[in-house]
Order: sequence, then C-alpha cells, then structure tokens
Amino acid sequence: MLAALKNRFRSILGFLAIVGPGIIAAAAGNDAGGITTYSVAGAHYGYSLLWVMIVITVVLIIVQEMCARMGVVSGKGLADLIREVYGARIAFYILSGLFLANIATVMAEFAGVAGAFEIFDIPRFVSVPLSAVAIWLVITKTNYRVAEKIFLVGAFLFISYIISGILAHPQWTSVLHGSLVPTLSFDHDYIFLVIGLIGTTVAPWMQFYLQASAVEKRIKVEQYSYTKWDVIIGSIMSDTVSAFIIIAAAATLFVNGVKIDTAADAALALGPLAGNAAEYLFAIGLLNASLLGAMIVPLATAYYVCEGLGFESGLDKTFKEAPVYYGIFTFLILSGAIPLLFPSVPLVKIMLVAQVINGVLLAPVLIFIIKLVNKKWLMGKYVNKPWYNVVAWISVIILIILSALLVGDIIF
Amino acid sequence: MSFFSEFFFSTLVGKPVYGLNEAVYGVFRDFIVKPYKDSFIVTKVRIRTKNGERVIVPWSMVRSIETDPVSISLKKNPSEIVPIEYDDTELRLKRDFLDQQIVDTAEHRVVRVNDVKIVAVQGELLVVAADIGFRGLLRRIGLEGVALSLASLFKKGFSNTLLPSKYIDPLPARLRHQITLNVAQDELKSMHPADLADIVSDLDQFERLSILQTLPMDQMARTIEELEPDVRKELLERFKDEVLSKMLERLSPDSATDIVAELPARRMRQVLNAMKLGDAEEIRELLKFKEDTAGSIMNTEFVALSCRTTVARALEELRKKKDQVARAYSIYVVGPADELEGVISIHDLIFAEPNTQLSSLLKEDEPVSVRRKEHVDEVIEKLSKYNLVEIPVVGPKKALVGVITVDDVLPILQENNE
Repeated sequence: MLAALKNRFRSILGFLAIVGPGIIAAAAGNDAGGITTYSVAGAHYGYSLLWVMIVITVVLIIVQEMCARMGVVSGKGLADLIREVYGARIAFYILSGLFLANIATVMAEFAGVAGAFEIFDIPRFVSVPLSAVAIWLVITKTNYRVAEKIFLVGAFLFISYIISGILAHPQWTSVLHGSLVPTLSFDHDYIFLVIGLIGTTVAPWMQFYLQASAVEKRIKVEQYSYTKWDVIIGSIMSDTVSAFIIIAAAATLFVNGVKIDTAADAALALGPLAGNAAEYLFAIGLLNASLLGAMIVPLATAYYVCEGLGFESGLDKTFKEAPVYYGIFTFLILSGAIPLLFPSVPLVKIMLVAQVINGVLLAPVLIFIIKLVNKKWLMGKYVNKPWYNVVAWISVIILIILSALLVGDIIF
Repeated sequence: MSFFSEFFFSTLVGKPVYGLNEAVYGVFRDFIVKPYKDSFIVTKVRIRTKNGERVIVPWSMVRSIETDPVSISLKKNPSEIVPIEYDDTELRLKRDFLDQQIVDTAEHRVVRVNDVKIVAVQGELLVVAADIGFRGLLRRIGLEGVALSLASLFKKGFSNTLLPSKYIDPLPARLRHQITLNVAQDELKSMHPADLADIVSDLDQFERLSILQTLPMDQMARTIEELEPDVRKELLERFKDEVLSKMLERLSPDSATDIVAELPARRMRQVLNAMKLGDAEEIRELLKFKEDTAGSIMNTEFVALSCRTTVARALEELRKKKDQVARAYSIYVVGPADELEGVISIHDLIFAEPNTQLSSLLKEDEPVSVRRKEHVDEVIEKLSKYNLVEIPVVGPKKALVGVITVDDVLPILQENNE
C-alpha cells in the first residue's frame, strides 16, 4: 500500500519534471488571433460551434503527439529533419514561408497587447514598446528552465477565461447540447469560421515549437509516456479555455445580438452584460495570451530557421554563441511591435495574408510529419502503429482540405 | 568535350547520364566514396535509369563529365551495363554528407554541410572539402546567381566557406545507416577527452553513440567522465552492461563510482556484477559513503608503506604503481593495522638519502587527516587551512582508506560558487 503510494508519488514527480513543451505549445496556440476567432464564434453563433472544439482537440492531440515523439526519439527538431531528409531547397522555402507568416502573427499578438491595455486606459504608445522590451529581456537574458517556468505561469493564467465564462452565467444545458450535438450549416460565414477555429488551433509553427522544445529539454525515450500526457493534457486544457471563451461570448454577446470584430471588442462588450469583473478577466486573459504568443511565436521561428539553415540555436546559448537565433527573435519582436504604433498600417489585410501562408504550408508540414514519424531508421520501434496512421492520415487530410478551402476563399 | 577540374557536388545531382551511343541512360543520383588519405575518393556512381531503377556502376566506367551542358557519359552502351553493389564501409555523398551534420575536428564543433567540393586529379575524383557557408546554402536553394550579381553590384566578394576533408568526420551518418566502422579517424583519437565531450554533447543520441563507439576504450571512458551528468545519464542507458562495466574498469575507482552512483539501482547491480570482482568491490565500498562525504570523493589507490622501508625502496614502489597513482603528491607511512602514522611528500622523498628509513623523514606532529564520513566542506577547509594538495582519509581506528587531492574537490568548489 505504502509502496504503491510512493510509486504513484514518484510518477507524479516524474511527470512534473517532464511537463512543459506540450502544455506550452497548446496554450500558446490560444493566442490573440485565436481568442478573436473564439469570441466571434461565440458572439455570432452562440453555443452551436462548441462541438467543433471537441473534434479539434482530438486532431490537435494526434498531430502534437507525433511531433513530441519524434523530438524525443530522434533528438532532432522538425526543421532539422526536413532539411536532412528532404533537402535544403524544400526546407528553405517552407521556412521562409513560415517566417513571413509569423511576422504577421507576432503583429497580431502585439495588437492583442495594445487592445487589452486600452481596456485599462493605457495607450498603446506606452504598452506596446514596454511589452516588447520586457519580452525581449525575458528571452535573451534567461535560460530554458527559467523561460519555461514563465511560459507555464502564462499557460495557467488562461484560467481567467474559465472564470470569465462562468461569470457570464451561461445556460449550461445549451452548453452541453452545443458540445455534443454537431450542427452543420452550409452558410458561407459559418463554414469559414469553423475553418478559422481549426486553423488557429493547429498552426504549423506550433509543431516546430513543440518538437524543438522537446529536444531542448532532453527528454529521454523512457520518459516519453509523461510527454504524451503533457501533450494530451495541454491540448485538452487549451481547448477547454477556448470553449469557455466561446461560452462567455455566447452567453452575453450572442444572446443580446452584439456583433464584434476583435477580442478587445468582446471584452468591452462583456462589461455592461456580465459585469466589470468578467470584462477585466477577459481583458487580462487576452493580455496574457498575447504576451505568451508574442514570446513563443518569435522563439519558435528563431528555432526552426536556425535549425534548418544550420545556425546555432537554443535558449541555453548566449547572444554571442547564437547571434542569428537571437537576431531573428529580435527582428520579429521589432517588426511585430513597431507597425502597431502607426494607425495607417493595414493590420487586417496583413493577418489575412498570414492566414493564407499558414494554410498553404500546413499541408506539406503535416505530410512531412507523418512521413518522418514512420521512418524506421529514424524512429526504430517508435513508428506509428497502423491504426494510428489511419487516424493520423484522416485528420491530416481533413485539415488539408479545410485549409485549402480557406486559402481559396481568401484569394478568390 | 571538357572535363571539370573542380565542381560542387550539388551541381551534378539530377543531371543526365549518357551511354556510349549518346542515348540517355538515366540521371545522376549520388557518388559512392571511401576514405582515401586525407580525403574521400569516388569509387562508384549511383544512377536512376529511365525505367526508374537505381543502378550503381564503378567510377571507372565513366568516360567524362562535361560542363556545357552538365552531363555524364559512360564508356558502355546502356544494354551492356551490369550493376554492382557498394559495401558497408563506403559512404554516399548525398545521403551521408549533404544536409547532414558532421564533426569539424579542427574547430571542435558540429556543422551542417551545404555542399561538397570535388576535384578531378589524374582521372580520379576526390572530395576535398565540405561547403559549410552561406553561399553553398544559396547554391542549393537556387539563389547563388542572384546573390552573386547583388554582391558584384556592391563590389563585394562573396566567397565559399570550405571545411577541408581532413577535418571532416562523417561518423554520425554512418551509424545511423547501420554501417559498422572499425577505424576512427586519427584526429578524434588524439583529441583531449574534454574537447571530445564538448562535441559529443552537441550531437543527437544516435550520433553520440556512434562517435564514442569508434574510440579506444580508454578514451571513450575518459570522454564519458567529462560529460555533463544529464547527457551522460541519457547516454549510458543505451550502453550494454558489459561495455559499460569494461569502460568503468578503465577509470579510477572514484570516477567510476561517481558514474555508477548515477545509475538506477537495478542497473547499478547488473553493471557491478559484470565487472571484475576486485574493481566492483572497490566501487561498492565507495558507494557506501553517501554523496558529499570525504568517502565519496576519495581515491582508494595510493602508496602506503611501513616506517622501516628505505627511501630507495619507496621510490621503487612508487614507480611500480605509477599507473594507478598518476596524481599522487605523497606517500603514506602506516602501521601493522594500516593505521596512518605519517605523510611524506614525493618532494622530500626525492631529496632524501636512498638508504635512510622512512621513519627518519616523518614529522613530529600528527599528520592532518579527515574521517571518511566527514563532509566535503570540512575537507576543503582542512586543505586550505593547512595548505595541502592532498589529504589522507581514515576509517575506524585511524586506518588509512583513501586520499583526496585538490583536483578532487575543485569541481565541488566550482559548483558551490555557481
């Protein structure tokens, strides 16, 4: 009895030591752009899109699990492997595309920072430069362990959305109905909101980030089961948060017929309907999500560009040891923050371009992931099981079709 | 018709291969190479034929490599070609070099190969360098021309960064493809274990093993000793018990104990059982002392003699044991039950008359020592208080059980400072 307890305790400790990459990657997927999409989904369609979140969670777990496993077993990042197996040219064009898309993503994160601070009457000319400097310092002056702790705190602060959702007094029976009964509408906006939800939850950069951080954390193959749970719990947590954002918006904005365009709009609209506490919690959530995204997206970009092109990378290295790595990171922070100070920059258009690039790249990245994770010389006995491959391919094909639809819609 | 005198490998990949009758046979895929002096020599050519078959032909079958347009022509007609195989000791340029990480033994770092430079010498092709620079990367992406014209626009040179073949160690790739290799390149063998440890830490798990396994056992052991504990732990899990125990036998008992102590309990037993009885016994003894005690860091190899031994005999004894006591600064005088009676520095020993007995060299006062269970901090304090480079460790009834030298405590001091 005592021994069993001791064992259980030990495995909990083991899990806590390994936890991180999965939870952080999934949480960072709920960035400013994501929160906007969820708020709009809740405000415009009420509880009826909640079931999509359950489907997304399954797909997210499958994709993330493959990357985490590949990182742990091969000890190499995704960009590394794409370069080594598919050559320099393919790696270069994929990385360049992601680089461009991520500039826009970082911009969206800083737009989120600006919007959240404006709810507290702090002008963006103060909030954006200060946040940019703070983020830059956190990343350049700390090592992986410290940075990871900061990210984990950020990931847990997402709870503010759950509280905010509860404060909005949703109709729980409708919540349950919306989650379990799929409703399909062939309305154009509806379909594209569904695609948007998926796109923001399973973004290509997340896979690169997850695999690279699993490598940097030097997780051993024997500890992989912990990492698997890290991925599963992380995905479920982050999608629960997303669901509560939809719930908060549905219980207040949808019921009162308020239409919104951004997450900051949603927070402001919450005030009169659900009280100031809900409004502020929503704003804090947005701020936290934006800051976390503004740290992790540039970091992920720096990781995979350096990996693929053969420059030194890693949070544990100093600026001098890895100049290109930190240079890319700094460039992304600057190019994400500075445009926010000029009202004439067409933010919405830039976001759309980013969505197109991400949509186009999602297909090859996912196909590379499945093909690599099935290579025996690389993964040994840790290749996908046949049934797992079937599920993985189905998820990937669905994702590819949906992102193709999204890209087609934006372009034409 | 013109022969290339030097070219980059990537410019040839995918280019057409012609038979003697000028008919297209297929496209060029890869060169098979093997180590040759300070570089690698091309032995075979890998071609994908028009029918999609992958065929290997000997280098001697190539008539010429032409520059304009780039193509290869063979000495035989397609119908006469008999494919051959390559053997396990050979490498493939595209698979094992291009885009892979290799070890730069000159700078002790891991680099990624963007391209490979080949030179034609007297009808043979030699791989002379790995291109690890930005220009090589641009060439692979198809942007070299653009970059060059930009560079000339600004009147800037844009040169290649080449790593000469003699500094290339492509070992990592070999293991990954399950090729066994029994000769490590000499550079690696002559490197200091600490430098090797730096290189090993930069590699992935497959590559770490592959490099280490090609080293002589002694050097492998000392490299592993130099690794960071977390890297080492991960690595040792992949070692067979027999290999690990053999390796531990090569290390001094205190280093070996440090490594064994990091193993999970069950593995520890297995490894100790696989070791030579005497060595294992010593390690078991040392393991009994918890970490951070004098007993855990002490060395159990030292020279202890009776006080009636002559100086000449003592020196002879020291010479005999020179391998075990490489870092000795003193010899010890002990009584019949091993009880510590005194310490004589090697310095004093050398300058003493050969015929005098050790007893005459002993100081009046009791020698400074530490007890086995004493904390490391106290060891450090005593070393610095009495200005010692070495301190004896005693067990019950003052029996001499080990010695601690300054180099044993330096890492602890450093850790405390961090």
